[in-house]
Amino acid sequence: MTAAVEVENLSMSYKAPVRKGGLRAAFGSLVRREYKTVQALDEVSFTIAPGEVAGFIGPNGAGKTTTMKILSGILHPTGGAVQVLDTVPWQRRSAFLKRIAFVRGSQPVGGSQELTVMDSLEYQRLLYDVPRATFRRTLAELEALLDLEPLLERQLRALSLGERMRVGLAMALIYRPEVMFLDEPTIGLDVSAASQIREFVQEYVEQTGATVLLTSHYMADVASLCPRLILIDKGKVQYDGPLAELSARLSPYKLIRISTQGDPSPFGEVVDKADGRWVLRVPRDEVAGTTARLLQALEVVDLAVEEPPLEKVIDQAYREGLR
Amino acid sequence: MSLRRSVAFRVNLVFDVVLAFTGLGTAIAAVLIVFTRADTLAGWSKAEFLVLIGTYQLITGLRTTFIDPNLSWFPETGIREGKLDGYLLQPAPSLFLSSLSLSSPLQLIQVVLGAGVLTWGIGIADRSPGAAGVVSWLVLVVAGTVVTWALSVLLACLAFWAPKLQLDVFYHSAWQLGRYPTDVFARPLRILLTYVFPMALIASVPSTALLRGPQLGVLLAGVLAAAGAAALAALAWRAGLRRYTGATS
Repeated sequence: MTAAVEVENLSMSYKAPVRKGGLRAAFGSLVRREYKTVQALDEVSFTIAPGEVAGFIGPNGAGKTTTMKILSGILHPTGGAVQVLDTVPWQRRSAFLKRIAFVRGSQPVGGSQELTVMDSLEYQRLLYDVPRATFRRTLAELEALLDLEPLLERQLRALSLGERMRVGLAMALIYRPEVMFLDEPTIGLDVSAASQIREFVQEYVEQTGATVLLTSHYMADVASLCPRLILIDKGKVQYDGPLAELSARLSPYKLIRISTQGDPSPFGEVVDKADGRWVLRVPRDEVAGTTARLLQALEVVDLAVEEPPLEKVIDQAYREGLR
Repeated sequence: MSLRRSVAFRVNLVFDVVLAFTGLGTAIAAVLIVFTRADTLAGWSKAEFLVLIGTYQLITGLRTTFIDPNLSWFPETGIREGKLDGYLLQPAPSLFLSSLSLSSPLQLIQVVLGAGVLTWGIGIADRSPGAAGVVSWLVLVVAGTVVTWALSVLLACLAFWAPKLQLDVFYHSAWQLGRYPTDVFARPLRILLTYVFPMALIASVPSTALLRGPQLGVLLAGVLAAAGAAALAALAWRAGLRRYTGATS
């Protein structure tokens, strides 16, 4: 079976007018305009297998949304080749568009805001040519999974952010797309709404075997949903592989959390201490030895070895880059 | 709250009707005043003028019903607010979705009013139009509507090259010129309005055909203009999308 998403040397650049501050420069730019070429994507390559769920992470402005817009056919890239479901996305064939979905957390539902949720779903049914029986069955499933029942008769514009996101997902999934691009699906949602969305995506993928590319700034989303991560920064792919390997590569340390009356500071770098509880930073390959020595030397009440928090690791990666 | 909302909509309806009536009323009043002093104006009689105003109102109504809700202020609503992105994702021609998918049926009242004035004009005309005149009037009104649509699309397409440019105001003022027969304008302006920015097509040409009998050449030119304008609009749209870099992040 071929890949669901295949991206090869994808580049996207655009010209943005630039000028220095001040009135003189402003008038100057009327006569002679200076442009700076912004390289939004620079030779990006990756493939995603059918049924795979990949996390797409990177700092703001890294090119995540641009990539997704190209993959879903909204934008034409300036270079490189892309195949999604064996089709070039920006040809925008309707057969292709019926098989993909692009949901954005910042604007989950478009269309006429005066329509009710049910009307909008009906509109999707017509637009995407979903057979009535399939529509009814999918709707019933979505109602249960997304708790849609109380929302169906409401107008789109009167929905809260969390409700909009749920409706946005329902609108996208009513035609059962095979490939989903989710751009920050949990942005601005509270903890429980976000986890509801996460669980839902997980269930949908399990049920249908859909391929998903998901961006998020919340590591909880990525950690719980995506076995594989693609890290992009300044338009280039910096890392592509399993989550665990990324944190091992980024952070050669582990944390030892220890409760003791003694002083464990000779055994490692102290990151944190508070009334008898210490957190030590220890090189990854010395963890076993250090733990043994700690247990021998001190009266240890409690001891735990932990991975450093993913947020910190990613933060470090964004700021310092990958070595 | 929902009561308030529905009342707001009802107030809208009343205002729309009042607005349509006053707009049309002043236009007719002006014509009637002129014709108390003169029998013809630039070779147009009172009845012909009424037919012209009716036709103009009819096409304006069609425009505000089917085209304006989609394409007016396109750089703002379409591109900057990301509506276009949504359309591009849907499995239907994006030009159709962006230019014709919404309508505001309330504005159809203008079409009804226009038809009323039209019948009035025909009623007081010296000789009633023949079947050929009616048919060619219909063809030309359709052609005029297509050209109107194409112009709106072309105007919207400018946004792909110059996103800050909003020419809607200019377009709407130029539109106002359509309510006078082109014969009243000086020659340069007449040529401009006939060939470059074909406002003549929306009222003058169909009205002439209806009352003074059809001319095959004009009919053909109208149909060709419509086809040409539509093709141009579709081409510009495609070229624009190729350049489109998105505006939302």
